[in-house]
Parts: sequence; structure tokens; C-alpha cells
Amino acid sequence: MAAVQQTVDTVKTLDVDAYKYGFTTDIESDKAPKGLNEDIVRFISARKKEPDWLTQWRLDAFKRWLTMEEPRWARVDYPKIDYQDLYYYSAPKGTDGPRTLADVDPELLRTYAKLGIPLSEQEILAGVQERRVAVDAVFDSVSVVTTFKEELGKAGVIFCPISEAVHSHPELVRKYLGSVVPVTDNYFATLNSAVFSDGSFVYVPPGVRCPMELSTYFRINEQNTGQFERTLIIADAGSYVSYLEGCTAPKRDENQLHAAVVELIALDDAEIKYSTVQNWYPGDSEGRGGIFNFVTKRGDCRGARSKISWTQVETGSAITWKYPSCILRGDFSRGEFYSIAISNGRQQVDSGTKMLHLGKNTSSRIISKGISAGRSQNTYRGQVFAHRKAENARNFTNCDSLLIGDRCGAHTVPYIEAKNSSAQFEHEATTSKISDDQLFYCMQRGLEAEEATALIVNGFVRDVLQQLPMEFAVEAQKLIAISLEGSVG
Amino acid sequence: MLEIDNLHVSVAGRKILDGLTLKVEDGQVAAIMGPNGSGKSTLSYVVAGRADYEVQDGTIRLDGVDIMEKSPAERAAMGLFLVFQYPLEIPGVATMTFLKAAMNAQRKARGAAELPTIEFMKQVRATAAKLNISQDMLKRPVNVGFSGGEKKRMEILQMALLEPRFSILDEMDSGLDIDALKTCAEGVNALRGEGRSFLVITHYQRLLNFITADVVHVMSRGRIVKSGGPELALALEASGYAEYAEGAAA
Amino acid sequence: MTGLSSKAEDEFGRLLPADVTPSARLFFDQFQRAGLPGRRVESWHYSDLRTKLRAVPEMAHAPDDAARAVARHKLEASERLRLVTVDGFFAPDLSDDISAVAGIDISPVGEAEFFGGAADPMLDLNAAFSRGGFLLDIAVGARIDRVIEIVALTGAETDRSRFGRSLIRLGAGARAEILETRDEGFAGFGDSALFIALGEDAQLDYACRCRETAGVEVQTVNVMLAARATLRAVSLLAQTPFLRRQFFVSLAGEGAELKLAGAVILGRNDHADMTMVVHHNAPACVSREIFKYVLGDHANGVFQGKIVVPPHAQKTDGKMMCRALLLSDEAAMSAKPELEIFADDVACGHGAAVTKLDAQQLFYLETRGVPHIEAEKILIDAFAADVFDALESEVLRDLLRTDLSDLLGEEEPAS
Repeated sequence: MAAVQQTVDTVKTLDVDAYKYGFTTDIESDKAPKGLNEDIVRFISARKKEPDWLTQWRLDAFKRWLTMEEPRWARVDYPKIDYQDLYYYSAPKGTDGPRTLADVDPELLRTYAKLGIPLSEQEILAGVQERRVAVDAVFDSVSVVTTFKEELGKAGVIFCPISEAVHSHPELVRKYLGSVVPVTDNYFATLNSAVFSDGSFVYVPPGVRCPMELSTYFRINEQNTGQFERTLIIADAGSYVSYLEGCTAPKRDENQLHAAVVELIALDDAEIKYSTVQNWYPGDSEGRGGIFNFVTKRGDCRGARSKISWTQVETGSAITWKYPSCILRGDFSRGEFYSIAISNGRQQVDSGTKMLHLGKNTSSRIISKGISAGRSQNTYRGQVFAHRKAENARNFTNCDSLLIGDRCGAHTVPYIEAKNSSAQFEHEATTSKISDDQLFYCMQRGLEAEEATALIVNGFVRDVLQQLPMEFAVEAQKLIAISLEGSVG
Repeated sequence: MLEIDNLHVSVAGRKILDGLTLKVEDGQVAAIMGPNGSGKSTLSYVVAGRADYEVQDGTIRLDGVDIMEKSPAERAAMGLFLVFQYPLEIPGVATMTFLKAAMNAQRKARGAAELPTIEFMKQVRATAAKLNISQDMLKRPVNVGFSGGEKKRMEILQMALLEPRFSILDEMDSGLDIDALKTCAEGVNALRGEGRSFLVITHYQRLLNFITADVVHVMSRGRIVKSGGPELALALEASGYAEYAEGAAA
Repeated sequence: MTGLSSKAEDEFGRLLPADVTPSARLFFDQFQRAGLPGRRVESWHYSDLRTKLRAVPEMAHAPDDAARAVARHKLEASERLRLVTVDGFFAPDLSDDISAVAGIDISPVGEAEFFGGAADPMLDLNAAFSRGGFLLDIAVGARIDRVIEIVALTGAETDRSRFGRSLIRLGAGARAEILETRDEGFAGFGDSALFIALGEDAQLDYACRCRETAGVEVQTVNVMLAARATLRAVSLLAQTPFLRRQFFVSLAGEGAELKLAGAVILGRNDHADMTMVVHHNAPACVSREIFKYVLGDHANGVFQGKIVVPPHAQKTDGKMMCRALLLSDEAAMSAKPELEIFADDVACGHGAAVTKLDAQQLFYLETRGVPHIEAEKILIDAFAADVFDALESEVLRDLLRTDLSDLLGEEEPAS
């Protein structure tokens, strides 16, 4: 298979730490002073020329945050974060003006080219790319460019940085912001509400099938800078949208904080497909540096027959704390969660999902594949809940873990709660290692150990990979092999 | 082509191969027959390079090259192929993907260019048709949900595509009905010829009705105890292995 | 975990006798530091003792003549070798003369003889208050043919707090069958502990039926298995007002084997929580946990199971399964089957399912002339009874089966 071969070749050309997005961009930036207080919150709000209600919303969140404690229930262990030792706002200079490609600093364009993110519409139109994907590129705290806005506009789809939507579509933002993840939800979400910088906003009008994939590409560049993006996606009645998210960061010895909030709202008969390939810098093999990824992602199937599907490939970050969830409020609504979480080196992953069945005849499906290698710890944590009134709730959960090497850990913590007699929940989980027999079989056919491992692991995660849009699936497959580099000994 | 000299192998401290010596000539089909537990499967695994076996002594040479220190993949690239008695299932990996990965890995190891996809597809389809392997089977994950017969036909398909110089057939007939056995045997016979040798490991003489052996060796208690022509297999079928089991025990 | 102590904690403090031993004092301090467990403690999330135990009943005392008379009244005739406790105190005069049987020795147990149990506040509380338990020793190599039955009774006619704490030891190669019948009455508070230690190659079949448990009750079973020892333990819980039964198991020797199973049959406002933590502390140990819940009315079932495999426990084979049948819309089930694995050469898994009765099967039975209610009972019985197969002892299996049929017979399943 070409992909595997290509992967193995790629691996060989990489340096020890195997992280190929670890370069930094030398660009001047405009930063808020270090630390966090009301003035910083006001500073961020002022920089974005936000209306008063939003400034107040942020300040309320900040006050609330001061009374909260960092959660400690996840199976992750990290040094105390000094929230005063971070920059909460950093923007590449010259991004205040109108955002068209011509205005973007060439250094930034080169960065995205290096990351393999197509920002030039012409190039895409000229057929270099087969399928068209609209991209919102977020660099540290601001969105630097959003492509295909006009064409999407013709279909009535709004796709722009959230900082822009606050001005261009205040009624939508005000109506939906914080309606899925309330300001008071949890420590990191509340912090995000106070200091969120930028992120994407999507609105798909009734009955519209979004004409192309939408994607946001997040890049943390600046040192000691937290990234707090906020994404809000609204699929109005009968609409459909597929959204992709990618992330990378430079290699730095210090840990960097990333605390994002993603809110999805699907109204009657609407469908949102949200895919993530998370490849933040994981730190080096000894656990120095890497991103602390504390993310709150939640989808609200608010309408009848609505559907939200999360697919994630998690290979990066030093610490991952992430539970993309679905609130199945509408009758006949459906939630899906497909996840591949790979940990190597000293990475710690605590990830999973919540499926909250509230409406009648709701269904959900969870497929989670965890792979632990090196000295990493990988935990699946998930909740499936049927409310007393959630008649005929259905869930199927399959949660498999694979261990590579004897110094890592794999843990499974599901919470299954049924308060309705018509609920039918099924949960199965396994933990094992790659069988020696399978490895030997592949090797007898000529594959070397590392290649054989990559092949078997790709088979192990196939159910999830199939959920990804084509381009992402290929990318993800390569990433999996790279992430496992050095794990076979 | 294959020379095994004084091979001593243990598993978990128990001696399985006890000074086994065996030579298979170029172009020859050699059969090894023996009672259960005589070490036949161990022999095939050790030749193919499986870990977990403690080799105390002895050498294995393929085309004059000592392969004892080589990995299973390196041995495969040298043209060694094992038809597994129980082929492994690999969930999630499409059979086509697997075949292509194996063929290209071996070509690469031999310094040949990768096979163009169209050429690869053509070869697989043609060979599969001869073995009654449907397109549907090729799309399914490797051996997953296959019947015993389907698994064996898939092994022969791999053998035909990889064109090994030396093949070991480990109890190829186990779990096969007569029609499947014929199909598989035809697949093997089609490959016979100059420059290719086979080691056919079997408990029953039946298989040798379909794949004629040039020489027959009887194995017992971890060594070859008797060698002869095809008539030896027929004699065994009539008299059983009792004589050899006792002989070894004495 | 919190500086605030509840009313119940203070009351326990007051109940602690003045002449308490230093070790009991240490256990009590430990309990107080942790506090009475409730929703905010992860491992007690589904069984909130803080809200359940608002007032602590008077301490039970060593049984006097009146108490013994009350207990004797409940004692049925039996073939089994019987060992009776009254409010947690071993009562030799109500028990059979077990020490006359070769290979069995019974004596009062001292704190020093218990092996270290799990870190759990209710186990600490038990250690602080308990007195008068027994030590049952089965000699090395002994084969006990008759079933030994431990009968836990009460002598009180009002609410009491009871803290039984006993130890069962099987010497190397010993074999025994033990039945525990818990029948202490629905009143009061109970916090009992049973310790089971099996020597190398020992085998124990242990069945526990909980007939009448206190208004609020916690039962802790601590298990330690030496190399190649086998414990088969099955619990039948029914009609429990508020019960938490917890197993803490250490598979301490290579090749030890555990079968842990249970059937939980609840109706009314019953609450039963089966929690188990199984530590595979040695290589090549096998554990199987299988639990079935049948929940009607407003019943609340809880299953928490955790398999822990440290790095050195290679070749671990652990499988856990929990299935619940909800018979009423007001019934609820919470399940948390956990795997915590640090070794790579393992085969571990768990499954959990919440289902209802299979309509097809019901229909099939009805077409064969079985009335609906009867058909339900047959299916429920079949659903729950297969967990008893974990036992090798036919006698114990039959006893539990009979108990289960009696239970299902007397209670109309709500549908």
C-alpha cells in the first residue's frame, strides 16, 4: 500500500522527535501585556471593537472564573499552570485591516504553504487541488484570512472569523453564543469565555447543503501565548455542513495553553459533521514542552431528526482533556463520536464523549480507538445517559485500546446511566496488544516490523478513518504512522 | 536450495527439534510426514524466522546463505514463503491493501521498482480468477470472516503473486474439502518447475495424491527418521505412525 | 476530603467508646479525614451515604440472653455446618460445634490477624468500631465436604449500628464451600467486613445471599489470593433498601483465578450498588466478573467494576460483564466498568448492556401456551440465574437458584 510506504519514508526523513510542524515563524506581533485581569479582558474586547454586551459577557465570565477551581478528575498529571505568566492576546502585525489574500503578510502565506494549507483561491480554482475547501486560518489570536467567502455567500452560507461575525451578524452571535456551552460550564470554558480571541463562525441557512467543506486551521506561533479560540456553528433547519479543523504549533520547551470552546447547533433535520485532526506539538520524548489542550466541544441536536457527528484524530498535545459531546434534545436526533487517540512519548490523553439522551427515540454511537505507546497514558472517559423521559434511547459503544510496549497505560472509564426502561444501551471494550501472530504473518509476507505495525494499526482504526473526509483520511493515516515512530523495538 | 543442518530448538524449555537435518534440492518437492507433536509446525515457523523459539544449535541455509540471523521479512524477500496452517485475520486491513504492501515491500528489498497499480490489479484479478476467489473477497479485510477453505485459497493466491523460490506448505490440507483441496493443489502445481522448491508438511497421505512429492521424509520426535520415494507415503497410510513413535521412544 | 463534617460523622465520633484501642483510633481518624462518602467522591458517586445516613443509630452490643433469643427465633433447621453472628458478634452457643470437624478451626479474631484491606472510609469505620468477629481457619490440604454456613442475624428489636468483621483463611491446597446468609433485618445501619485469604492452590466456593439488609448498609469483602488459588464468589442481592456491597480483590500470586458474579433483584425503592476493584498483582492471573440486574418499580441499580493491571502483571486475562434488565420506567441503572491497564501483554475487556425483555422470546413462550406473567418470570429467571454457574459447588448453585425462584415467585414483576 502506497500510503504505508510513503509514511515509512516520511518517518525516515524526520528528525528524532518526528514532529514536522515544529518550525517558528519570525513575524512581529502585537501583544497584550502578560497576565490576566479585568483590564486584559477589556483590552481584548477593545482590540476587537466589540459591542458592550459582549464586553460585559466576557467580564461576567472572568468574575465567575475567579471563583472556580481547576478540575482534577481527569487522569492527567501536569505542573500547575501560572495563569499570570501567559499572554492572552497576540496578533501578527498588520492583520487589523481588510482581510484579503493581497493584504496578508507574505511571511504568513509562506507559513501556511509550509504547513500544506491552501490559502490561494486561484491555485485551487486552477485545479491544483481536486476538491475545494474553504479555509479560515487562525494564527495565534486572530484570523488572518478566510477563503471562498464570496462564493459561500452566494449560497447564503456565512463563514467568517467570529470576531467579524460579532459585527456583521450580531443577532446570530448573541442568540447562540454560550447557548450550548454556558459561560459557567467548566473552568476552561469559562476562562475561554473571558478571553477568547478568534475562531470561526458558520451559519448555514435553512435547506442549504453547504457547497464545499469548511475548515479552520489553527496555528500557535508566539511563545508563552495561550490560544483561546471559539467556534460557533449553526445549521438551520434542513441544512448540512461538513467542517474540518486542523492544528499545529512550533516546538518550544515551555508548555503552551490551548483552551478552546466549540459550540454546534443543529436545528430540525439539520446535520453537522465536525472532523478534527489535532496535531499540536506533543513535547519531546522526555516530556519537555508541548501543548496543554483543554477543550470543551459540545453539539446540541436542538431540532427534531437533527444529527451531529464528531470525528477526531488526536495525535498531538502533551496533555489532552477533551470530550466532544452531543445533547440529543430533539426527538429522533442522533449523535455520533468517532475517535482515534494516539499517545506516544510522555503524552497524556484523557478523552471521550458524552451522549445525553433527552428527547424521544434518540440514538447515539461511539467508536473509540485508543493506541498507547512509549511512556504515555491514554484514557477513554465517556458518559451515556438516558433521561427518565427519553423513550427508546439507543446507544452502541465500542471502545478498543491497543498497547504498544510495556511502559504505557490504557484506561477505560465509561459511565452508563439509564433512567428509562425502554433504553437500550450496549457497551463493549477491549484492551490488548498487537498480536505476535499477526505481526509474524505480515513479516513473513515481507513487511518489516515497523511497517507491519503501521499496517495493523491502520486496520485497527479503520472504522474511524472511514468517517473522515478523503483528504483528511490520507493525512490522518500518515500522521498515525509518524506518531508511532520509534514505538516498535 | 534449502539446507538444514543439526537443528536443535526448544519452546519454553521443552525440546521440539532434536538435531534435525534436511536438504531440499532445487526444483524438488519434498514432503515431511509425521505424527502430531513431532515438531512439523515448529520446523516451518523456525525456517520462516518466528521469534519465541530457542534455537540452541544448527544452521539453516537458503541458496547457500545462512538465514539464521535474518528477520522474517528479509527471509521473505529472499523468496521464502509459508502457507500458514491457520492464516491470521487482520481486521480493518483490506486484502488488496495487504497484497500490495507485501508485493512492493519484497520488490523494494530486491531493488525492483514498485508495481504500477494497474499492473498490480491485473495480476491479482487474473490469479484470483484461477483460484475461484471473488472480487468481493479481495475487498474484505485480510482473512476476516473467511471460511477455512477461503483462507487457504487466499494463501495460495499470495504465493502465486509473490512467486517465492521456496515454499513451505504447513498442513495445507487441514480443514479443506476435496474440491478446495484440488483448487489449492492446482495452484501449487502451476508454480512447480525449475528454480522453485516446495516443502509439503502433512499428516495424511491424501494431499500427496494431488501434489506429487519427489521425496518423502518421516519426522518423529524432532528429527527425520526415514526418507524415501512417494511409495513411503503410501506405506505410512497403510501402517500408521506407531512404528516411528515407538522407535523414537526407545 | 472536606473540612465540613456531617452530622453523622460527629455522631460516630460520640459513639466511639472511651476505651478504644490506639489502632481503632487511627482507623477512625482516617475515616474522619476522608469523611462520610457521598456524590462528590468518585468511587461513591452513585451511592450517596452523606444524604442517606442522616442519623446514626445506637451501637449494637455483644448479645445478651434476650438478643440471643431474638436471633434464635430466626434460625431455621439446616444440614449445614452453621456459624452464627448476632449483630456482628460471633455467637458460639447458636453455632454448630464446628471445631469438632477435622480441618476446621474457629476462634475469636484479633485486629492483628486481618491483612491490609483497601483504602476505603467505610472499611476504616468498620475497623474502628468492630469487635467480636470470628476467624475461620481451614487447615492446609483440608477438604471440607459439608457446606459451612455463616448466618448473620440481629438480636435487636430497634435500630442499631452493626460492625461485623471476620476473617476466613484457607491453607495451601485446602478446599471448602461457604454460604453466607445475611438476615439482620431491615432496621438500622450496617457496616460489615469480611476478609478472605486463600493459600496457594486453595479453592473456595463462596455464595452470599442478602435476605434482609439494614436500612443503610455497607458490606466490604477483602480478598487475597496466593498463587494458583481459586475463588468463585457469587452474590444474590434482593430487596435491599440501601446496600453497597464492595469487593476489593488482590490476585497476589501468579496464576490465581477469580470468578466474581452476582444477581441483583430489586423492586420498591430499593438501591443496590455492587462495586469491585480487582487488582491483578501477579502475572498470568485470570478474572471473570459477571453481574445481572433485574430492576422494577423505582429501583436503582449500580455497578462499578474496575480491573487494574500493573506493569509486572503480564499475561493477564480479565473480563467483566454487566447486564441490566429494566422492568419499569421509574427504575434506573448506572454502570461504570473500568479498565486500568499498565501492562501490554494482556487480554482485557468489559461489556455492559441495558436492555428490556425480548419481545420475540416472550411471544414465542406465549404461543406455546405460557401466560404472559409466567413467561416473563421464566425469562427473568433465565437471565439472572446463569451467573450462578460461576460456582463449581452444585449445592450452592441449587440453593441460590431456589432462592431466586422464590423471589421471583413472590414478587409480581412490574411491566
